[in-house]
Amino acid sequence: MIKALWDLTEQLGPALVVSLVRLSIGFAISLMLGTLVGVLLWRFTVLNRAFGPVLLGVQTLPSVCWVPLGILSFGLTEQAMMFVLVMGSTFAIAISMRDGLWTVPPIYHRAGTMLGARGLNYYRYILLPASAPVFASSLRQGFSFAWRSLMGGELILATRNHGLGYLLELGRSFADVHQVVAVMLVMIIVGMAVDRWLLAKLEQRVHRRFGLIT
Amino acid sequence: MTGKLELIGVSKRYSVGERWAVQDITIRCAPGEFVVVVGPSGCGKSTLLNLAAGMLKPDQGRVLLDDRPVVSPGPERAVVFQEHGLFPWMTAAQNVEFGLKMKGIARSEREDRVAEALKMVHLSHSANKLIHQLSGGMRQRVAIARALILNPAVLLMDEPFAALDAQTRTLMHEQLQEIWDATKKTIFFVTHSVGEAVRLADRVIVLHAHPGRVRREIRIDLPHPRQFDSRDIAEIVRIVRTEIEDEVNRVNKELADEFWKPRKPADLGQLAGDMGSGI
Ligand SMILES: Nc1ncnc2c1ncn2[C@@H]1O[C@H](COP(=O)(O)OP(=O)(O)OP(=O)(O)O)[C@@H](O)[C@H]1O
Ligand SMILES: [Mg+2]
Repeated sequence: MIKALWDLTEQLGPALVVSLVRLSIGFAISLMLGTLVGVLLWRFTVLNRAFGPVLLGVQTLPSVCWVPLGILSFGLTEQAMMFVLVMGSTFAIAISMRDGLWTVPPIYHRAGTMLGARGLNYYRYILLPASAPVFASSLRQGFSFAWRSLMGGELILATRNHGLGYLLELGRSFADVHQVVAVMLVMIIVGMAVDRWLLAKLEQRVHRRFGLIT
Repeated sequence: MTGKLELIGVSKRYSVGERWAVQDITIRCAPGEFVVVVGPSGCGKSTLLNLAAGMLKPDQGRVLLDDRPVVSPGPERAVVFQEHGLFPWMTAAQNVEFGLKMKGIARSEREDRVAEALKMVHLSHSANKLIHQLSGGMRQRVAIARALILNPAVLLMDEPFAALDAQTRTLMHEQLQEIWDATKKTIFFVTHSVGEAVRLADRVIVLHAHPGRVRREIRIDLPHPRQFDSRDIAEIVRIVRTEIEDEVNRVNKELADEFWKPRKPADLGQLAGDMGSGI
C-alpha cells in the first residue's frame, strides 16, 4: 500500500497540482455565482418563488450528470471540467446562502437604518458582516460539493491535463487495486485537510468573534 | 429648541381583519420632555415606539417631528432597542462610532466624540471589547452611547433595562437621569414597570391593552435629579399601580384563558405543601 503510494508519487504530484488548480479556480467561480444567486433569491421573493424549488431539484442531481452536457457544450476541454465543478457546487452554495440570510436577525436591519446605513453602505457594513457566520458555513458546504464534482468530472472527462480522478480511472483500467485505493486516499485526505485546517478554522474564528462559541 | 415629537391619532394593525395593536393614540412630547409610556406586555408599546421611529407606518394618523412628517428611520430619532441590537462583529467603540461614520464625519473627530460618548456612559475602559464580552448592563449602555452620539432630536427607548437585575437597573436609571440632565434631549421611553416610569418621567402615559389606547396621563411634578427611595416616589408608584392593576390583571386573565386553564388556588397550595414534604 505504502509502496504503491511511493511508486505513484511521480504521477500523483503533478495530478494533485492539476486538481488543486482546477479546484481553486472553479470554487472561486461557483462561490461568486452561488453567493450572487443566493442574495438575489433572498432579496427578491418573486425570484425565489419561481426558482427556489427548481434549484433544490437541480441540486439533488449528482454532479457527474452534468458531464454529458459539459462535453456537448465545450468538448473535452478545461471549460467542460469547470462547467461540471461549477454546476455541481453553485446551487448548494446559493441555497445555503439564501437560507442563511433568512436567519440574519431583522434587528440589524432596523439598527442599521436607524444609524443611517442606506443602500450600498447597508450591504457593505451591515448585511455582509452580519452574514459572515452563514457565509462561512456555506463555504464549507460548497467546498465539499466542489471537490466531489471535480473528482467525478476528472474520472469521466479525459482532458489533456491529468488530475487525480484520471489517475483513479487509470488504476481501474490496469486493474491496479493499490493505485485505486491510494488515489482514493489522497482524495479523502485533501478533502479533509481543506475542510478541517482551512474552512473549519475560518468558521470557528467567525463564530468566536460573534460570541457563538467561546 | 428642537425635539418636539407628536403622534396624532395613530392607529396600527399588523394585518387586515386583526385587532388594532394601537388605536387612535395621541401623544405630544415637548422639547426636552421625558415621557414614559407604561402598560402591560403586549399592549402595543413597541408598536408605538416603532411608529415614532419610522420603522412602521401608521394605518391612520400622523407622526411628526418638529412639525415635519416622519417617513423612515433616521439618526434624528435614535432608538435604544428592547434587545440592544448592537453589532456583534464590531467592538463597543466601533458600534458607537458607526452612526458618525455613516454621516461621513472625519476619523479624528469621530475618535474624539466616541471617547466622549463612552465616558458619558462610564465605559471608557471597555472600548475595545466585543459585544459578547460585555455584561447586559454594559451592552445597554453601549446602545445608549451609540444613540446619543448621533445628537438626535429625540431618544426613543424600548424597555432598555427590562432584562437587567434590580441593582443594575437603579444604576442605569441614575446614569440616564444624569445624561438627560446633561443633554436635555426629548426622551420617549416605554416600559411595563410602573416604578421605572414614575422614577424617570415628567409625564407617565398609561396604555390600555387590546386595543392599545391611552387610558390616563399622570404628570410627575418631582424635581430632578430624583432620589429613587424617596417617600414621594413610593406614593406615586402606589397610585399609578392601582390605576393599571386591574388593566394588567384583565390582560393576564385573557392570556391565561387563551393558552391554558389556570389551576385552582387549592391545587397550588397542595403543590406547595408537597414540595416541602419531599425535603
Ligand atoms: N410583527 C408583528 N406581526 C403581527 N402582530 C404583531 C407584531 N408585532 C406585534 N404584534 C402584536 O401587536 C400587539 C402589540 O405588540 P407590541 O410588541 O407593541 O407590545 P408591547 O407592549 O411592546 O409588549 P412587550 O411589553 O411584551 O414588549 C400584540 O398583540 C402583538 O401580538
Ligand atoms: Mg415591546
